[in-house]
Amino acid sequence: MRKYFLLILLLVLVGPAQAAPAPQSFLVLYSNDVQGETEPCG
Amino acid sequence: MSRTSKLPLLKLDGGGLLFERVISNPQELEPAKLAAEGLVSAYNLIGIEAVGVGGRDLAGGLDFLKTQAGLAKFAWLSANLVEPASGKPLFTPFISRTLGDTRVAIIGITSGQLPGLGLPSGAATIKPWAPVLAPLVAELARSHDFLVLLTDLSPAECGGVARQFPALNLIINAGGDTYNQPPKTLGPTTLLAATGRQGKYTGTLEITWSRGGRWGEGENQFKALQDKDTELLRTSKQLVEIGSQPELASQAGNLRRRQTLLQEEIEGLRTALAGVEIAFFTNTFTAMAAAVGAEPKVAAIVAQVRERIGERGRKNAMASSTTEPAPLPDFTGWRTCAACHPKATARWQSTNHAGAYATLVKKDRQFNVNCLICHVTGGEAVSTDRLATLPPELQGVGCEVCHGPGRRHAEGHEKTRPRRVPETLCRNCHVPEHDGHFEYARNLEKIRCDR
Repeated sequence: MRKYFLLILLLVLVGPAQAAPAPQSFLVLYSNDVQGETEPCG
Repeated sequence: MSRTSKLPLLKLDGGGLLFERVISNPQELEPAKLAAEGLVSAYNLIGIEAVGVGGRDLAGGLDFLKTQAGLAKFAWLSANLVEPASGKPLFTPFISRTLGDTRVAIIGITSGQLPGLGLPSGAATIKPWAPVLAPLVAELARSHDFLVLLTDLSPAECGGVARQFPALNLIINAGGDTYNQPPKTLGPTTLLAATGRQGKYTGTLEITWSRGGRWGEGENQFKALQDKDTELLRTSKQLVEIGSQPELASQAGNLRRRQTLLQEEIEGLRTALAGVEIAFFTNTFTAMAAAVGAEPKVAAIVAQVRERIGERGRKNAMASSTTEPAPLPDFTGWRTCAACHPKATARWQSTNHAGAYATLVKKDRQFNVNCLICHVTGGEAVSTDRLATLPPELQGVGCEVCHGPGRRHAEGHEKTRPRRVPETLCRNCHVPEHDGHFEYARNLEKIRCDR
């Protein structure tokens, strides 16, 4: 019984690390500055 | 709701937010500071998370920057702008954010290569990036999945950073000359993204990332897998809808065959992608004018800043006009030219140059000295506070901007005036930030005077 318990524990601990993680998606909104937007001349 | 709008979002700025350039003239600095204050308020509203401290941000002085940092709801990042005695950073070196399951670290590095920028001695110094980044990147790479650098280093220096620190996955570069070019990879693991100076555009990167990924890896197969997953779902739904209607048996058979094929293809793609650290991006640019227009509170800040700058400029102009107008001994104004060159003057009057001052008046910016210099004639010959008090014949980009001061010619002391306009002269004002589409030969044709 103890042997099976350890096997399950090992699978739980090792399993996720061995599986390839699914890629995550996110958005990065970026700008250098908005100087021109607050004070454009013409 | 689109897939994109559901994704976690991080809003960043590479740096150089507050000032367009290093300004030594106090009268030009005054309106620039008002604009800078407005920018911080606008960024607070937009919900920006972090801004890099660029060298240009120090153009109003360290104390001004510290004051703005105190008013900001976002982090000002610099790991290498330090207090000289202690070597401690004057601003936050980095921040961490979690986007979905991705742990992201954002680091700031300030360029020390800005001509004319004098840091207050004893108060601040800019350390070289390499020894600062080495321990920081090593530490953050252990605890994060994705590292971002905000910096105003030159694009060439960014290449050096990418070679030395491949653990940096994205560099957002401020103040470079790559105007709204699509992001490019600087190495297998580092992407460089930049929008033009004066940020008339913002960029949005949709990133799909696996820890340890290399840009572009698994992109086509992953996208194909997503498409086939979508099609399989649609096919399965159609089959459920059809059910066991006898008259649609043939259609159901086709759908079942398609379903089986899709399942096999999906299985094949999943096998091919096993162990691949998928990493790719798509990028879009959005005009800031549209974004500002869509946000009334930001538009209100912009309007308020313009009004404050106008008021201040008007006050300065009135104060300077109480003394004698500044003499402009070399310039004569377009009316004098018109007396002998009526055809050329008529041609000039049909150009945008003739109406350059009127465009400022129309936008109520005729008291903004930072704008005026490119919208008047002979501006370089007077002090900044006199720009708003020039006589009407010198308002607008007149004959003497291209052909040089004309009084001696008008009085018969000089027979000819320069006919050819050098490109460098045009580019003093037709800079990419204001006129990204300027082409010397084409534009010269537009303003050619008929004699």
